[in-house]
Order: sequence, then structure tokens, then C-alpha cells
Amino acid sequence: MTRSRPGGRWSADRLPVGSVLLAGCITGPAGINLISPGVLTVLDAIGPAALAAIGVRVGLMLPVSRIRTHSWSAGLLDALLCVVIVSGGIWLLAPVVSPGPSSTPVALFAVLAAICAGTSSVVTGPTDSTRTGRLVAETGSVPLLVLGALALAWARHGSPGSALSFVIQSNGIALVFAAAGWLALRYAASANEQQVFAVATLALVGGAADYLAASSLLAGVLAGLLWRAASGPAFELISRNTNLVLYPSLGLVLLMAGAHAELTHPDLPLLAIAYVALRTAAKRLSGLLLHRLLSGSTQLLAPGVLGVALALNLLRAAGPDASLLLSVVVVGTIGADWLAAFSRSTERRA
Amino acid sequence: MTGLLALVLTAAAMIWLRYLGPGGAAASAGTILALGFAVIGAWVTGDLLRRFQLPRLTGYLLFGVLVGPYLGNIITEAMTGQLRALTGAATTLIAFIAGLALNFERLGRGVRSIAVVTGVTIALASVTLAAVVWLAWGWLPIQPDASGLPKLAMIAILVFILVSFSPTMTAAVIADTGARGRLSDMVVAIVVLADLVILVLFSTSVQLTRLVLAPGSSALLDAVGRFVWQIGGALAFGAMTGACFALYVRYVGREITLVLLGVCVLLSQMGSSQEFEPLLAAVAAGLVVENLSVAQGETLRAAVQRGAPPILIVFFVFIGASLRFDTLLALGPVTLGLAAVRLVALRSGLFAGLRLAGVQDHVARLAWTGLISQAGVTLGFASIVAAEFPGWGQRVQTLVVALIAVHELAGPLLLRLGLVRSGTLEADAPRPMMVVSNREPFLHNRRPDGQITWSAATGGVAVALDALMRERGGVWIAHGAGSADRDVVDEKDKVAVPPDGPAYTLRRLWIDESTFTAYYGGFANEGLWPLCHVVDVRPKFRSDDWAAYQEVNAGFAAAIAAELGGTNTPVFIQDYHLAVVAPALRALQPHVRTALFWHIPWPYPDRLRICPWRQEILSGLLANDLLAFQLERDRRNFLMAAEEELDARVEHESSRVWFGGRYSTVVSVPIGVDYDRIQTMAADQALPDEQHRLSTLLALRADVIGIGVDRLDYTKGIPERLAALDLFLQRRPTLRGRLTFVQIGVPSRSELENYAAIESEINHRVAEINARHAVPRGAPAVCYYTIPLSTYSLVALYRLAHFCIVSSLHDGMNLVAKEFVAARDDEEGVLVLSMLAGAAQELGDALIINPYDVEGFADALARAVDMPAPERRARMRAMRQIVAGRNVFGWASDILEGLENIWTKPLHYSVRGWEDMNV
Repeated sequence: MTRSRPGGRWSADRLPVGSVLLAGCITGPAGINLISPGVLTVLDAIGPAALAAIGVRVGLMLPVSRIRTHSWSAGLLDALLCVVIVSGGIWLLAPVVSPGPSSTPVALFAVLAAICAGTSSVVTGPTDSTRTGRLVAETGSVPLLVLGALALAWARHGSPGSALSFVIQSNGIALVFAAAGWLALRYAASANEQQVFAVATLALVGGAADYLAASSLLAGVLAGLLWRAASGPAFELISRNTNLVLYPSLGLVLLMAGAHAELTHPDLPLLAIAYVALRTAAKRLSGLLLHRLLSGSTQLLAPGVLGVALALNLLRAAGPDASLLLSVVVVGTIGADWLAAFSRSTERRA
Repeated sequence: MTGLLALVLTAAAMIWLRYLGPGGAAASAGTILALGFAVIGAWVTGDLLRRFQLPRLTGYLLFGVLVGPYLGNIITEAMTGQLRALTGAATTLIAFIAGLALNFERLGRGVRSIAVVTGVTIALASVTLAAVVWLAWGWLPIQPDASGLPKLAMIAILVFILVSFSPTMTAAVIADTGARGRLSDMVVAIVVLADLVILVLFSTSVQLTRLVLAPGSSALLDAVGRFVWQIGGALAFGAMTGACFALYVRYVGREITLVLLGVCVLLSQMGSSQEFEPLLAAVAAGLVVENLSVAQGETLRAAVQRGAPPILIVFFVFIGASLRFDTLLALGPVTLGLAAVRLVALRSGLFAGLRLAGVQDHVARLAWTGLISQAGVTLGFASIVAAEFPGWGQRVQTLVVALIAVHELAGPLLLRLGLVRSGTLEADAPRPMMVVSNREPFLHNRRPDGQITWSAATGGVAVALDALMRERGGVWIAHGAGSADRDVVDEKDKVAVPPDGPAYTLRRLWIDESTFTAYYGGFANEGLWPLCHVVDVRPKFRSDDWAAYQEVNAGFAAAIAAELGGTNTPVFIQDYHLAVVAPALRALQPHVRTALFWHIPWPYPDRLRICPWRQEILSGLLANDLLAFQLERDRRNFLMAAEEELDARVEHESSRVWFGGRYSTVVSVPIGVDYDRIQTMAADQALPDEQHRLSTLLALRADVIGIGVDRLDYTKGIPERLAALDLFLQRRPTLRGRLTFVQIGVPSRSELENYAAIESEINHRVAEINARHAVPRGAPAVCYYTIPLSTYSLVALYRLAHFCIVSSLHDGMNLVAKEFVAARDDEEGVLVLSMLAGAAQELGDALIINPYDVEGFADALARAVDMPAPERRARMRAMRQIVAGRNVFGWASDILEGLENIWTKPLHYSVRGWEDMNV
């Protein structure tokens, strides 16, 4: 029996991101080692399915046909501002820090960090302005996930052409798996069989990307969009069954990210502070520019799960090269999450 | 076909993926991919083989072989290696399930004979195999030059591995086939008990072998200590874990499946790190749970049914993928020879054991067919030997793997054959069922000219159950209400139906008029009906009515018992008229399987207290194995009432109630309509003629037509509907003369006071509205028609209407709403639906109204009339998808399958039949 969590504190949209990340840091190998490297290896193996589940949720919930042009523009503007400001800021810090092993160029590091910073999560509420804010956050996040996947492929394959070809092929495979999963769900004879097929499909979609060292998140988003386009009862089935695993997936990804964070890196404090400050500045600016759509300028401040998931995805695909990036995103997200909570409460009091 | 296509697509994508090659960043890349592929692929393959009467497990293994590294290589060796990580937990789970299978209370006096049979079988088979292996030692690819004690030790280990069985395979085949009988019970008990003994023998032989191969006094002491720890530690740790787990299930009871899997991982990990036998620990844990806390054992089995299949599928795929056919071919003659000797040794041992135990019937003599399978336990033994004794141990492992390949392919097939030959499982046999209802599916009436005619019931439920009965055969027991019913039955009150093509038997029950009035009109319709519907009508409870109700229910129970004889036919009881049939029936036939569907709402506990005999009704309903309601709300209300009124123990996770020493499963299964039949009618080319006929009959000339179809019942909210229509026409006078609302109202239970009153009120209101909104030469506001229409005519009317109103004040489901949607394949029409009807839970795209809020209701009517075509179509399309997805046949078979799955529960777990009961 599943319990519904309608809009409660622990709903998927209101996950205490910062706290769970912190719990991951504390219980991870760098902390009390409850999540030991051995346990982390097991979790790493199932992580791609969790990332795919998050991606699928984004794809399923994105009402592509109903989004108006101005929402897309607003989302893109928000994402672009954040990428430019955060990557520019981190790039300027290059002389004082040496992010990552020499194999990770500073520019790539800065862009990837900025992509992770660009994602937002708007706490759902009854007002239209909040709903619009959420739409802006969602429409802004999808291009960032595409950009992240492309950047990752570029870094691995050297040229834009082969990167694009790789992204198309890897996601093509994910879409074939998604179609197979859709058929399997239609074939399922009972509710529990549907659950098993839904989870197996997530494993295939996320696992395929993981096997190719591509983005499980993007594969999930595309699968979600495909199922959304298919609509009908199959969409309902997939939506219901992926929702069952969504919440554990979110928690798992955050815990894993926290546990993977290397908190002892000498450049981490400066980069994390810069990450939070630059992200906050970019989101504030974006909020002010979009003030007609968003009633409060703090609406896009909450970082949500997607940035962390993307960083974890990069670590999984790129290996230790992305370790510092993940650490910066984890610490930066904890800071940004708390800052957003503080800003919201200040705004409410005002 | 859909499943096969899914499998082909998945395999194609896997091949494409392999072509691109691994990204190579993470060591565990591919694990989750292999896992997903294994689950979907093996599941579909298992289903395909099932169609050819082969066990699903064979399909899982076959899939593993086909895609594994030694044949198709879609799942590579590296992926197989990664899947191996799961097998530790899986084998522990298997052992745990085996422990759950041994309930000493259920085995009862049979324990002694089972123990004798098991002991003799193991002893004789071991001796025979040992002798053959000793003689053939030179030909076996192990260590031909060994002699003396080392040779003896090696032979002991090999023999115990050879004798070992697979409780998982055996239990899974039995559950998979749905078999239940003496042979299946006996086989499972022997296999589990035997593996428990073999575990101890194997551990002992391993310790002794260590001692023989590394002699010395310190080694002896060390070996004894290790042995005590391996066995004793495993038993103690397993028992302790089992007890903790049982306490968890009892006092926490949440996420049991997850915790169970966690326990299996713990047992597996602790066994490896602390060097005790994890399988023995797991069997001990299962045994403790099953025998010390029977109730928790049941809950656990439900959790196992939910969680085990994917893990076991992956395990079997892994085994299949690990099968080295090259090795099998190289060892072919030796393997086949040993397999044949094992078969003969086990068969002889079993026969000798049966003779000693004094069991000599032909069913018991087929038990050898369940002893052939080998899988996880044997593989685990082989892995231990390979790790403990590098060199000859690894050669033993190779030989054992080859033997497992033979046994796991042949074992399930042989067991199935045994089950068929014993009559436990009758292949392709019809599965008759029994339906019990107040109303009969076919009525025989005498016309004024003396001729006897028959008519079939037209309700959706009756049609669905009739279709099931035609397919499965059996007996339908119902009250004979037709004027010529007595004239057509035989001396046992039976008649073959349908009259135009008999497929099953209708057994008619005669109830005298005064008893029927008290039972049906009194207790059922003046008591239970208003009790269960929250409307302003007081339930009337009279002890005479209650006595008649019990009497009639007991009569039904006696008729069912007589028809059942000694068979185990499932019984499907219909509705609130027959709430206390089950306890009376169970007194006559304690092991009967019954399901009852309660079509109307179930009241919340405070309202239920109105009924003086609520506890009798509740306990009567809980005498059924499966109890089904329309909605989740009804199910929850019932569970609350069972807790509050009977102090019954409710297991919310599995939705079961423990009362009176037995479990009842409570589910919600919303009923649907015969969608395909309505579709066929809607597409009928003659339908426009029927529409024309109805337009003429009802004088329909308005531009806008609304429709309402109801029994004339105070729960249907017809006066509220008319009030809303009145207000709407007052607000929109331009529609006067242009809008007609057709109300089809079929009188029912008119002899009851409340029903007569509502009929009168409706007549009065219709006249009033028509007078108030009359327009010269315009159409009347309301067209009221009280003659029942056929389904075909209703479909024609539905398709004439611009909107349909269902405004129940409280309703279990309301099929009119679903029929209207099913009839609109043109995607036109708006459904205005009461939030208090059960259908509103599913049809969220209707215009949902509160029938008590007349103003809001009138607003909704305005919205229905003005709704733009795109919105209208989008809403109707969404509703049609829902109605199409749950038709009345699915509803009936869901309940029957639910009932049959419950019955297979004592068979430990089922690889496919593991659906939770929220069907």
C-alpha cells in the first residue's frame, strides 16, 4: 500500500534538499562512514535508474504543448543569465584556484558548474504567480540538461560533431527502451507487474546512458516527453508508477551526492562561496527582469534537486575528474537552499 | 504480441548499445542495465512459455541462456559478474522462503511420515550415489588419482551436493501452475526438510574434508569449533533475526517487503563476514517466523509475493546466463550418466521411504518428480567447495554446474507432469465457478396465451457474470422469480442455461412471498439500503425482517453446499442481499472459497452503529475469503468498522483482516460497463432509425437535449436535478422551448413507502416545471418517461443528448455515467456528474457537481450547454480512455483471480501470482 503525500513537507517539490545533502555529507566516507565506500559502490550501481526517474518526472510534467512562447523565453533567459554570470565569475577566479585535475579545463569546469547552478525549484503554491514561476524554472531547466549532456559528450569525444552524434545515438537508444517499456506496461496484467515494468524501464533508460557514459538525466527527460506525447492510459500508468519510485530516487541521489562530496579540497570553500554568491546574483537579476511573471524576486532562488543530480551524473560519467565539481555543487546547493529559505521567510515577513 | 514486441525492441536496443560499446567510466556501468533487461526480457519469455503449458521458470532460465555470454552475448560476462552481487541476497531469500514453507502445525500428523520419507530418501540416495561415484571415480573429471580418506571425503561432499534439491524451483513451479493438493504439499515439505538436513550434512562433510586434507590436532579442534560456529551460529543468528523480524512485522508493519530484502542482505553479508552458513541462518529465520508467529508469517508471505519475483527472476536469469554449454558438452556423457543415477537413486529412495512410512498411494509415489530440480542451494554448495578447495573443488563446481543445467531444465517439466498425472493439476481442465445472487440471469415467464417465454437479465453485472459462466461452466444459484420458473426446472430445481445454447446450470431457489417481502423489501431495502446510502431516509430494522434475511441466506448457503459437494469450486456471492451466506456456508463446508462483492457504499462506522445487527453482518462478511467494494473509501470504512465493532486485527499493508481464526482480504474493485458491447451498438447502422423512433415516441423537437436515466430511487437525486434545471431555465429564458430534458425513470420497489413518495414528488415537480417554462409551440422543458428501455434504445438516446446528468445523493458507482461515456464514440456530449457518486472518483473530466448546491448545479448546466467543442471533446476523450480501460469483464475476472490467488497463498509464493489485492 502506498501512502499519498499530498503537498506535505516531504512532497517531491518540497524535499529539504540542503538537509538531505548535509545528511549525505555527514554519513558518507568523509563523515562518519555509515555510507562506506563499499555501500556507495552498490548505490552507484543503482544511481542511474534514480537519475532517469528524476529526468522522467521532468519530462512527464512538462506540458510542452501548453507552454506559451513567453514562458519558454523567460525560462531560457533565466538559464542563460545564470550560465553567463556563474561561469564568468568562476572563470575569473581561475588565477586563484586550480579546479580539478589538469584534464578538466577551467572553462569547461566553469560552464558545467554554471549549468548545475542554473536549475531552480519553485515551491508549489496556489497563486498564479507561483505556478508561472514553476513553469519558468521547468522550461529553464530542460535546456540546461541538454547543454550539460552536450558539454559532457564534447569533453569526452573532442569535437562538437562527434559529441552531437553520440548524444543523438545514446538518447535514441534510450527512446527505444522507453518505447519498449511503454509496450511492456500496456502488456502488464496487474498493478504490481506494472510497477516492476516501470522500474525495469527506468533501469534500462538510465542504465543505457550510464553504460555509454552519457547523461541518464537527459535520457529520462526524453523518455518522459515520449510517454507524455503518447498520452492515453499508458501515460497514466507510467506517470503513476514512476511517481512511486520518484521520492526514494530523489532521496537516494541527494544522499549519494552528499556522500561523494570531497569536503577537504583546499579550493572548495572559495569556489562554493563564489557559486552561491554568483548564483544568487544571477537569480535575483533574472527575477527582477521577469518581475511581471514572478511576483517575488526570490522565487527562483531555491536550487532544487536537478543541479545536484546533474553534477552526480557528470561524476558518474566522467569519473574523478568531476569530483571537485560535485563537491562545489553540493556545498553550493546547501548554501543556496538555506539562503532561499531565509529570503522567503524575510519576504513573507515584509 | 505487445509483450513480444517489447522484448524485441529491448533486445534490439541492447544490441545497438553493445555496438556503441561501453563508455567505461564506472566499474559498475552495465549492472542496472542488465538488471532492467533481465526483468523485462525474462518476464515476457516466461509468459510466452506459459502459453505452451511450460513453467515460467524455464522461460527465465532459457532467456538467461539465450542472452548470456555463452550464446547471444547480449548480457556480457562483465554484466553477469555484476549481477552475481545480487545472488547472495537472492539465495538467502530462497532459503528464507523455504523456511516459511515449513509450518509444523499445518503438516500436523503428517510430519512423522514426511520425516521418515525424507530421511530414507536422503540416506538411500546418498548411499547409492556414493557407491556409483566410488566405482566411477576414475572417469570423473575431479581428481582420479585420489585414494583412501581424501577420496572418501571428496565423494562425501560431491554426493551431498548431488542429492541437494531446489525448494525455490519446486515451490515456484507449484505456485506458478496454481496447483494445490496432497502432492504439492508433500513435495514442498520433503524438499525443504531435506535441504535443511543436507545443509548440516554438507557443512559437516566440508569440515571433515578440511581435517582430512590438513591433518593435525590443532586443525581438529579448529574444525570442530568452526563447525559448531557454522551450524550453531547460523541457527542462533537466523532464529534471532527471524524473531526480530516477526516483532517488526507485528509492531511496525510498514514497508515489509523492503525490510525483508534488507534482512536477506544482512543474513548474506553476516554469513560471509562471520563465516557461518547464511543459508541455514535464513532457513532458521523463516522457520521461526512461520512457526512461532503464524499471523506474521502470513503477512510476510504477502510481502514475499510482492518483492521476491523481480529478484528471483534476476537470479534465474543469472543462472541461465552462467550456464556454460561448452562445459556441458565436454562433460556431456558424465553429466547425463550422473543425472540418470541421481534420478534412479532418488526415486528408489523415495519409494523405500514411502513403504517404511506406510504411505502407498499413487499420488505419493509421484513425489519424485518434485525432487529433480536443482538450482540456488546446489550452486551455493558448489561455490563454497570451489572457494574452500581450489583445484579439485573448482572441478567439482564445473561438474555441478553442468548437472544443474540438466536438472533445472528437466526438473520443472517433470514436476508439472507429476502434478498433472496426480490430478492435482488438471491440464486444460475447465475451471468451473459458482455464482450466487438474489436475481437470476434468466427468467421464464408464462404469457397470457399459456406459452412459456424466457428473457435474459440486461444489467451490466449480470451480462458480465453470464459471460464468465459461459466460459468456465458451473452453477448459478438465484431466487426463482419468473412466473414459469418452476415449470422448466428438473426435480433438483435446475435448468440448463442459456436456453438457446446451454453452457451452465441455473439452480433456482424458492422463497415464499412473506419471507421474501421481509428479507428483500424489509431488511435489504428498508434497512441495509438506506443504512449504506447517506440520504435523509431512516433505515428501518425489524427483528422479523432480520430473521427472514438470515433464513434466506442460510437457504442459499445450504444450496451452495449441496452443489459444491466435495469440490473446491470458487463461489462468487453478489451484493448486500446475501451478507450472511458465508458463515452459514462455512459451517457446512469449512474450506470453501468465497468472494463477495458489495455493490453499494459501505457506511462510516458512526452510521453503521444504527444497525442493531452490525456485528453479525460484519462477521458474516468476514467469513468470505475476499471481500470487494467499489471504492477505496468503502474499503477503508469497512476496515475501520471491523476494527471498532469486532476488535478484529486489520493489516493495513496487505488489506487483510484477521477475525475468527482466519484471514479475509478486503479490496476495492470499481465496476465498469460492457464497453465493447456498447461500442458495437453505437456503431450499428440501424441506430439512427432507433434514434428517429425515440424522437417520435418522446416528441423530441428541441435544439438542446439533456438526459437522465435512473431507477426511481430517493438516492438518485432526481428532485435536486429538476430544481437545478428549473433554476437554469429561469436564468436562461432564451432556452425555454428550445431545451428538453429527458428523464427516464424506471419505477422500482414501489410497494415501499419512501419509493412511492419519491415517485409522487417527481411527478409533481415535472408538471410544475413544464407549466412554468412552457412556450407556445415550443418543446417541453422535461420529458418524463417511466417505461424501461433496452440498452440499445438507451445508447440511441445517449447519442442524441447534448448532456447527461447523474446527480446521485450517494451512489456506489452509477453505471449510467459510464454507459453515457461509452456510447459517445463521437466524443460529443457533456457528463454532469455528482461528486457523491462513486463514478466521480474515476471520471474527473466530467462536470462535477454537488447535488445539494442547486445554484452551483445550475451553473454547471449552463457550462454544459455552452461548452466549446474542443473542450467537450477533450473531456470526453479522457473519460472514454478511463471507461475503456476498466470494463465489466475485467472487474469480474479481477475478483475471481483475486480469490484464486488468495487460495494459492499457502503455496508459499508465486512468481506471477504475487499481485497485491488492490486489484
